[in-house]
Amino acid sequence: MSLYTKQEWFSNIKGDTLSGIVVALALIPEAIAFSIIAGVDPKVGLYASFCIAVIIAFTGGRPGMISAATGAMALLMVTLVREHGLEYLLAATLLTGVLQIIAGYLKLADLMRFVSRSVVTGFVNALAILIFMAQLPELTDVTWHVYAMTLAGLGIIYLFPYLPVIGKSIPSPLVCIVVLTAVYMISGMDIRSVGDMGELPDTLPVFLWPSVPLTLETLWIILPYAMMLTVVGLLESMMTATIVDDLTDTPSNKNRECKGQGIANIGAGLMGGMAGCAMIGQSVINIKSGGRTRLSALIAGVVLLMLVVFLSDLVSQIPMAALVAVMIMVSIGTFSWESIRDLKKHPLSTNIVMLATVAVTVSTHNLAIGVFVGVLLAALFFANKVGNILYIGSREIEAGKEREYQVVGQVFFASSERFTAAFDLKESIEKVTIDLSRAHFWDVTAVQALDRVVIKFRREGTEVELVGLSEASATVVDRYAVHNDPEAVEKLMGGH
Amino acid sequence: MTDQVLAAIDGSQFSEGICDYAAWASLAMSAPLTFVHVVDNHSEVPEEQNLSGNLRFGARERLMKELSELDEQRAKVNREQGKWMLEAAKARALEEGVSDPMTRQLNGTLVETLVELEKNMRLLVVG
Repeated sequence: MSLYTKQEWFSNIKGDTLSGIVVALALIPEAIAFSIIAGVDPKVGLYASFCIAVIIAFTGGRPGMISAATGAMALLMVTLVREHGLEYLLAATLLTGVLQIIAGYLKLADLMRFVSRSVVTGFVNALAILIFMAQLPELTDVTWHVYAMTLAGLGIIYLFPYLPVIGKSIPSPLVCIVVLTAVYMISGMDIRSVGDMGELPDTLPVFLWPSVPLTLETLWIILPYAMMLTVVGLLESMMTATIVDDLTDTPSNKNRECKGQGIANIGAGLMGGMAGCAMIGQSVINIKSGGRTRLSALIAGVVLLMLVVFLSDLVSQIPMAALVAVMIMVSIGTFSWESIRDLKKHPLSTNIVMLATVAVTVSTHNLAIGVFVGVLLAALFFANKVGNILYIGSREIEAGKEREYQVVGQVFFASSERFTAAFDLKESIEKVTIDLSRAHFWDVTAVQALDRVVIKFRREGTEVELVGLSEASATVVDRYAVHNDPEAVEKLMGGH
Repeated sequence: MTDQVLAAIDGSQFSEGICDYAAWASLAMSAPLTFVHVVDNHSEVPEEQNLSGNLRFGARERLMKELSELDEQRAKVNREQGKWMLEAAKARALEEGVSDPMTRQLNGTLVETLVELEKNMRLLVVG
């Protein structure tokens, strides 16, 4: 796949142009809202969204996916901005980009296979909840006007598409913003608007190097933030890429996407924008609107900047209530409602993984920690499940003299205790044969458990003979590359 | 089977010509003839555009369902059409004296599929 194949850019010009415009219109309220979450001027998020969307169009590995300033990333920046200011955020954004490029070269995207489906669902649900919670400050301690406006906005967003003809050709979030802005400007009601939240872009973005001292001290301040931003940015991007893969039934290059995200973040940092990543909601809107190639992301970025720079007076008049309505829509659209229904159907361990991911994320406001806990839990549950696949039977060969134990299944850290307990040391006997030819010893814990059993038998004066140990312990070797060799797999799984 | 004559047909106006040339080549080289039809079910251009730009309850699941249903319908029609074309090509080749023309239908994009089939072919006829 070369960078400029015609197919990746121009195979769907009409669809991509229109969807790009729809996405741009939806990106504006999101970029402003996420800037507010991060505690920076709206222009930081808008410049970021422009830079990231445009750069990722060229560098990304998943055509049709939309990246820009995101809520997941904004939530991680809050304390950095509050304690050290915008310049440190820009420096952290640059460092994030560098780390993501390194991750791409190290092919860390391949690690995504350890993130199970229930963790992904938990991530998505937590993200939706966090986006919704971030709107609450705009809805507390305000006059009834704000509630009325927000409800009207939601009404427009969800009912406008039912209108014949225009319903499906004009984006309803845009109608919501235009109508509410008009109402606000005409009525002159006393509610907050985007202009009250900080500076909007009045020029095209310009190149600027973050003015932070280039010292180790600076590095220690930004490094923890950059690492979290790297992880969360890549997680959300990889998950979104998978969603777009599924929707369009086409493959993507995940490691290239990692590098592309990194380059885009460096670009954003150098143009006065905050770090961002792929956006689940926007990517779904893009596909739904008919976007398929790289062109739609490029158009989304360019249209976004044009609108904001040339209409900045109007943009500053958008009431916050309109933004809140759009963000509630994004939250609703991001949440996986299917997962609530599936709670009854799925096994308890799966549900615990999903709910734990949500709970930890929502309480820490950090998706990386949530995913880490989710992956850890999923691994433990899996180890526990596989640990149950162990059967140890025995038969007397000669009464009071000889007994044969047969071990079938998986012996490793999670099942070694059960393995040890299965041998009857109380029995006074001369010889014991342990047949291991249908067992797999996966780790050193398993080998040590076997050693312990053998020693215990010997101390009771029982002679121990091991059968098939070499086959059983072949799996202890770490790089047990059998996956491409059907014969080896057959041999490994032969006992079952 | 590295000695095959492979003819890729797509139902365009060139299909008959391809069929004739392939039959001639197969007879001249006394090599077995196989007609291939590649079904590409994932068109780059979406059929419907919904510019409402909003996300409702279960937006992702719903979109997934819509898109896969569209693909499914298209795939079924394409497969039927392809079978019919392959039959027609086979009949034509039989008429022209090829003893046992074979037909194959594969999912995927044309270029990728032909690259995969490359090792089995001696001559490729395309329109």
